[in-house]
Amino acid sequence: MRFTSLHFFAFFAVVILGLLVIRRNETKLSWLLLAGAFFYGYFDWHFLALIGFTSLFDFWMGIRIGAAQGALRKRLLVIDITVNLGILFIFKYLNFFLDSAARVLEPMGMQVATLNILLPIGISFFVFEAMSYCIDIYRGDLKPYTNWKHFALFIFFFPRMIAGPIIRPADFLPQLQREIRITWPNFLLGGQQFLVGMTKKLVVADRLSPFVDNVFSAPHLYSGFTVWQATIAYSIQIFCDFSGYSDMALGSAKMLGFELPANFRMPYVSTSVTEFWRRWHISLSSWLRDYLYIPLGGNRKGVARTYINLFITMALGGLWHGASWHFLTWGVLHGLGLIVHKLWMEWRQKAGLLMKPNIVITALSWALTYAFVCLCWIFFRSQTFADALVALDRMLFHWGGGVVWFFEALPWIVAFSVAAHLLGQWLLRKRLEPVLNPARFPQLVFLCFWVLGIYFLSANTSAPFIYFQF
Amino acid sequence: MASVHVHPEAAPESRHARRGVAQVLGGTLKHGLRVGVALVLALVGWEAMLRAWAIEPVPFHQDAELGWMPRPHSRYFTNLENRLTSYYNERGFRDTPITPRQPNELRVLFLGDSFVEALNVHEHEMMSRRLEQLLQASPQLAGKRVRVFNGGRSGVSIAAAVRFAPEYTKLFDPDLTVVLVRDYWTQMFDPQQEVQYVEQGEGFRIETKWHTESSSRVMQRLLALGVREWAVASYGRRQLNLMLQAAPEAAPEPATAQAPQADAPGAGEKSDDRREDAEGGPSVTDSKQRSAKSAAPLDRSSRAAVWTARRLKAAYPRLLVLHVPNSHPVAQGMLEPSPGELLFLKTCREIGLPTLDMRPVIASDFARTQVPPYGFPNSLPWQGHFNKHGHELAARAVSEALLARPQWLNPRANFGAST
Repeated sequence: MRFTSLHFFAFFAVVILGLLVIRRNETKLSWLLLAGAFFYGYFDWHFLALIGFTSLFDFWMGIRIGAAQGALRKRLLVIDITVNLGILFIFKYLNFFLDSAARVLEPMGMQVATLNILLPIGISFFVFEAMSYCIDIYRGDLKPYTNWKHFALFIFFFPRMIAGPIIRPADFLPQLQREIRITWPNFLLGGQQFLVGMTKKLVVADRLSPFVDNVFSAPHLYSGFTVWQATIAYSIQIFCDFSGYSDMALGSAKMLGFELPANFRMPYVSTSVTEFWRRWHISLSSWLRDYLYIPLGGNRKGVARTYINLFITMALGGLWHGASWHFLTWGVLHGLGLIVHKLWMEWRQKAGLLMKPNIVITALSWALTYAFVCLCWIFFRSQTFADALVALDRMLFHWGGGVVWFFEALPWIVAFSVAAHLLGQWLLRKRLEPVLNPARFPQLVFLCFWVLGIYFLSANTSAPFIYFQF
Repeated sequence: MASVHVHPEAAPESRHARRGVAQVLGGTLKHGLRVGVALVLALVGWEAMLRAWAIEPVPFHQDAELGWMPRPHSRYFTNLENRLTSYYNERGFRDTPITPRQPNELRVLFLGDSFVEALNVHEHEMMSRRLEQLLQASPQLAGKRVRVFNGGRSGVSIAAAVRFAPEYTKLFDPDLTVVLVRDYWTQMFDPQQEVQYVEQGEGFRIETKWHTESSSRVMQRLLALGVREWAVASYGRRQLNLMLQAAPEAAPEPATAQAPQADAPGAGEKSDDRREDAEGGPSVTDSKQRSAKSAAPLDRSSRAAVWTARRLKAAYPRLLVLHVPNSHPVAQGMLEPSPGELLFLKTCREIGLPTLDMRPVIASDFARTQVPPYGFPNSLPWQGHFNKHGHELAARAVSEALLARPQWLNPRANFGAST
């Protein structure tokens, strides 16, 4: 049930109607839990048992960890993390490791059995969320919840169930203590955010998708010029696809009366890789920082160890997206990018070269960052590691040959994206959140114009959300 | 007039309730009206935007002889594939006026669908015009006047060339006819089509219906109001059709670069069920749908191909069949031929109907130039219609096929040999 489908609109209307009719808050929570189970089961009901198990297991472990002291507390946490990562490993990474082992061992005459395990949708998101609940309890940042329904709703809250944002228990669970109310201001604000997400997804991302898919499915058939265009197009497509999904998740949660943390803050205005990761997939990067980088020692154990921690965190961040060498390479490259940026900043500081940013330096920094991010996207998007190398070869060394295609929509979409980024950045800086008020007639006309615009300008085929595969 | 009896004790509450209901109804009506007016204003805004940016719908009408045709002397603007304005002549063909026969004139009629109508390329680039120029420039036709008529009609299948043969022959008075055929043998049975095949024994009979857009009274009234010519209606309907058709597409297997093998085992099972989008470009349906659908109509569509070949030969005595394969961007090239396509080409050869297959021509040209003959900068390589390069390829291939046999250029000559 995609957010952009008519099925979702019907489902969401029923959920809203239910919340309006039901009076007791606990019943409302039960209704939302039921809705979450239905939403997840609609994709594949077979895995309801898995997500149900996760919610029961981590709820129980949370209570046990909360009650335990000393070494037992630590042991219980280790068990919890092992089970959660075990689930993730079996469903997401086992195929990869068996395939890789087969490639190495089969030439030596050894047979390795391969399995065809289906990937449960959204597994990387709900496993990380469940795990962070127990880690927070272990650290003493959170008290264990004794009401399973509340904890289960944290896992089963449908707006962010499939592709995030990854929410923290401390951000979400307290919201269940207050009364759930559908209010007009929330509905307007959330609805508008949902429309922004729909526009990004249907009008921009899906329009770019056929061109990008074609070029990256066979990069050897295209000229370097065309592969460059496809790479730029992909940088916009993945942003509009994923941040569009996040907007729709945040918007639908807001309409239901819940607040979810922002997942993107105009990432392509970044002037360094470090800044990029403060603006891109914030819920994942902050999760990795708090639950991986800092426990590894962060920057507290010397310079060399800081870089190693950074590298490990980003490499695992790459693997989080999928069990493939190209995702791992993407993570590794970003890790190296962060290290190089840190080294550069330290060198400039030591050399006394830190100066006030001027427009030339800012522009150069931006261009370098964007080019680096784009080159990394090639590994992220390519179907195989070999395809990524072919695409890079076309872009950097073999410019000529192959089909030369100028994708006419790209300059317009780039211009639109730049304008939207700058506007978004300005609104962020001014802390403005403009809302259209349909009580005012001109704004109502604009709202109708916008909704019709999504219909008229949407691409003909709607591609699945990219992050559904993770 | 019916009176309402109210119990005296209940009167104040009822009046209050009635006033409450009236207030709610009035409020709802007021809000509904506001939203309605806002929607109309937004639609007006989009009408202007779409006309300026995307599409200017073709005003169609029901021609007494030729059926559902663009109105005479109308125009069409699109930026869906390429960006240009096309003009229609006095009979609704994308061409200059149909002139009467001149002395010493060789008249060629180029029939087909949107590939021939060529709304996606400039007039001087379309295959019929380029063929005219190439033939006219040939020393073999020195001293002769050559006129090639564009008889292409968007969205029609080859059934239209069979059905309207008497009308076309009378209207264009051709010495030679070239008919472009693509792989769309199930389209003859599409209830939305104006010209349809209906099975009759082993063969078929042709039924001509009014176009679906003018078939019902409601539609006729809407047409009379000019609704079809509103960009929001035309473009909106197109969007809706494409959304309803949209299904995750399985990547079709790329075609081989060789000419089709008529007896290739299992060849073409994939491409039997193609649909034309609103612009007439082919699309490939989901493989599951295809395999489920293709089992039953496959035999019928193959029979339709054979029946069509025989009918065309009877209807146009001096006929060259130009076969153009479908392509798809996901396949990064031409699609595999369907059994209908293979059978059609085989039948043409068997009954002595000259055919020109573009498949090997396109394959060898692409291997040499790396320029896809299908697709535009605002669409994708290998998507939809022939671009300028494709039109040029087709025109050159037809021109060479005609010039290679000088007797073909003599209107009295009999055709027989296959290319």
